[in-house]
Amino acid sequence: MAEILSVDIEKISYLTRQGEITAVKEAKFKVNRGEYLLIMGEVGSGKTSLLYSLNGVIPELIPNSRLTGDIKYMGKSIRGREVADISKDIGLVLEDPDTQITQLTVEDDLAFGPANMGLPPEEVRERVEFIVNRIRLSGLKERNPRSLSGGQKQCVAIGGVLTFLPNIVILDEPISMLDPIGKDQVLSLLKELNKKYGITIILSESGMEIESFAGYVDKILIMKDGELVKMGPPHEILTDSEMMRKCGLRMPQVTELAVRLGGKGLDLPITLEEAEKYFNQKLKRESIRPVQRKVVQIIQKEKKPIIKVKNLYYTYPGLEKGIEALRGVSFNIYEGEIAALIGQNGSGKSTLALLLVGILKPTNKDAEIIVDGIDLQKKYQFKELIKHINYVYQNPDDQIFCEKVKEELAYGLLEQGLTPKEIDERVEEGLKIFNLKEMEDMYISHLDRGRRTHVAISSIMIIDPKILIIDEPTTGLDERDSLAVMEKVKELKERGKTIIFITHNMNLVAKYADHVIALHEGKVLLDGTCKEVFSQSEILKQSYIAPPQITQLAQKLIHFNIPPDITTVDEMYHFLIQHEV
Amino acid sequence: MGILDHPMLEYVHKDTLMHRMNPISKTIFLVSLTLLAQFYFDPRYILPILVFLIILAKPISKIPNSWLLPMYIIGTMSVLERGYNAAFIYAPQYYRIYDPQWMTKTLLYIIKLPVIGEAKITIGGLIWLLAMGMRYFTALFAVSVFLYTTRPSDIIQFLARKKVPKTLLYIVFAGFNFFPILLRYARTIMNAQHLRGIEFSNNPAKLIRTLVRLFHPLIIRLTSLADTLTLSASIRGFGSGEFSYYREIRLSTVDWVLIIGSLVFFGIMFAFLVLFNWGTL
Repeated sequence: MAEILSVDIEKISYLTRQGEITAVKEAKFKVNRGEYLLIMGEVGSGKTSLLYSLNGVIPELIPNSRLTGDIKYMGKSIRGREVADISKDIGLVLEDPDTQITQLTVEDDLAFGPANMGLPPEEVRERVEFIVNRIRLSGLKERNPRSLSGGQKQCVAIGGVLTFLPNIVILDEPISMLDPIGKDQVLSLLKELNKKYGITIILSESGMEIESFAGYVDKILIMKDGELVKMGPPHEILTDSEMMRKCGLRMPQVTELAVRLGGKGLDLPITLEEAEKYFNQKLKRESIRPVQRKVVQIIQKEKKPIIKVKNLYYTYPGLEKGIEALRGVSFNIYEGEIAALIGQNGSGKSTLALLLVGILKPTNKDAEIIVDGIDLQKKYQFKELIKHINYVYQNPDDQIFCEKVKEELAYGLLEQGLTPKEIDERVEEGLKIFNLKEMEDMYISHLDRGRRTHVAISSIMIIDPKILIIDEPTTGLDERDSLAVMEKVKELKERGKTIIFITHNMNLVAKYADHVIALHEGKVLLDGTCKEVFSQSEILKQSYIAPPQITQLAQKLIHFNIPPDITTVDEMYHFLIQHEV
Repeated sequence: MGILDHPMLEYVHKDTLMHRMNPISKTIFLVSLTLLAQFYFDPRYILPILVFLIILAKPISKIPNSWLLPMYIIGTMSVLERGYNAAFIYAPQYYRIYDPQWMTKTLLYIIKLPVIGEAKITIGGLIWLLAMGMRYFTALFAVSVFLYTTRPSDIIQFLARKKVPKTLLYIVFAGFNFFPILLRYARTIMNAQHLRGIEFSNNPAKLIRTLVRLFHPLIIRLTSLADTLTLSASIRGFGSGEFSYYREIRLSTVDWVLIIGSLVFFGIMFAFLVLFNWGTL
């Protein structure tokens, strides 16, 4: 294969108030035409800076960024070329879709790139139609992209670059906001473009979604602390458990299971299909006797519901008849549980959350929302409500208003009529939640996304609500930070709080949720325990949800009498060990 | 639902006559009417244009009042600001059509100021103020009809095809994006502040304090907006060379009739204004 991109970077750095910060120390590698390359590393490992440098955004468009070294596209340096010009050859999809979307209808946004290339109108239309149908945007063509859900916006942002059909497509964490089947659809579309048109794909990932990528990419490059650690084929990288652990990354669930069961070498499975074959060979049919499993977790119906929702409708203004986000939703949330709200992009999860905290009002009069005894359809004090229920935004920057950590935590308390002493005491308590004491006087803008998420959650926790809703708490975080956030969530539960988290990460749902509510097109599709919900894979598919990889494996190995409702690697491992497999 | 949750000052896709109209003929049509109204001082001449534009905006283009709210605020503020000038419009030589004596009749004497002169409310001053208000609202309704019914991409690509300089294209591009982004930022910040217990109060002192709290994070975000817009435009190839259309903008016979009709109407009315003082006071 011919070389298409040659990267020879000595250093990428940023000038900040605290001096020069180095993001990438040294990066020398080559990418061949038609390769599908994944760059993987923890948050702060330098992935985004590296990707931005590949089409000139660094140093051209990022203020105070510096690059030493050179990038060559087809043997020629990209230095001196404008980003708008380079983008025709090397397209870039940013992590935050709001930054990328520029037009006021989805259709216009998808057409913006090819129209800027001066392509004939028929071809622009053809490309838009092709992409619209492939990434589930066909019913949304006339919608304002800013009115869409986070995941739908991510699809628009990806589509907006794919309509370009550049020789290289670079995508920064492209599937973090997508529903599980949406992730697969986007990655398979990229694969198709890669195979059919020879388009080179380079994408980044912080490790949370490794199961989704493993079956698609040709090569993986691992980064840590701004340096390249290892580059090679997926089997070579993903089965190197020691290197992955050192870099703060995890293996796909099926690989982890095989390793824990004593497997070694490049034959270890890294995808579900490989795992099915692998375990079909390894497991002995007679070794597992059919087990009568009782339902392990049952929602404690005897506990009183802390949230009661009945017949809830919500319609956003816009277009001719408005946009129906919720259509008759009813459910209960019980005191002291961790509930997960899952569903396809645009299924109404965030809208439901905003209704529960009183930011939005139902559009039907006969809706019932009772939160910790407060009837939201009657008159109530909003200031009082936020002490019962509160909400952490998906993007921490949406709710950060002050420059320094300590100021941010005190911000909401200033309006509560507390004495300065009481405020100080509460802030001190708040700083302890995520060990933020050491950085209390630091500028928030200098913290990484994980830390900013900690500040955002702490600033709400300090108000001490009984119920906390966290919208996509792990978006933009790596495995370590995500688990840190979720462990704190678990601690909050142990302190008697009720937590509702919205997520597309089914591994986290399996590990932490007591109760799962799956939404589909504004209605409740499934409502039950994790096991109840994940064992109904076929119904879940309607909402573009796929259970964790390990549950899917269990369901594929059902002929070995493996229970289909296994939800974690631990559970599967112990089950197999218990049966002496 | 708060007022900020509604779209404002941006294109909203609907299937109305004005949405379907060719953007070029629509621009010429609206500009002719607005420009004509700006030359008139007699409310009797401006009123039909204003009524016609309100009909275009409301029953024809179906623009909701929530979308028009910023326009109402800008219009009202502008009229209030002009009230100051109206107090100094009393010289008889202003009037060519109406009886200067009647127009300069003092209704309320306010004050005599050094250098600036006397400030008083006269019939002519009030009629002038009424005309100014109607002019503002004529322009604001025309802009509203245009923004609500015209896709920015059509305008930008049309300008690009006409070889408008890249810097100007960036300004137009940023202009179309600025208000929706500002609104989204403001909405998110207000909701997030609300969840931290900060409420908008009727007490002016508290309201100012709350607004200051809103503006601080808003301004911080807006300072990086120019960089963000440049980044988002550049990585989509904006301004890199030749442009083409997604929807081809072709002028049909009806469009040509509308363009020629608008220009002829404007020409005739302007000639009557110059020759026979139509529309003057």
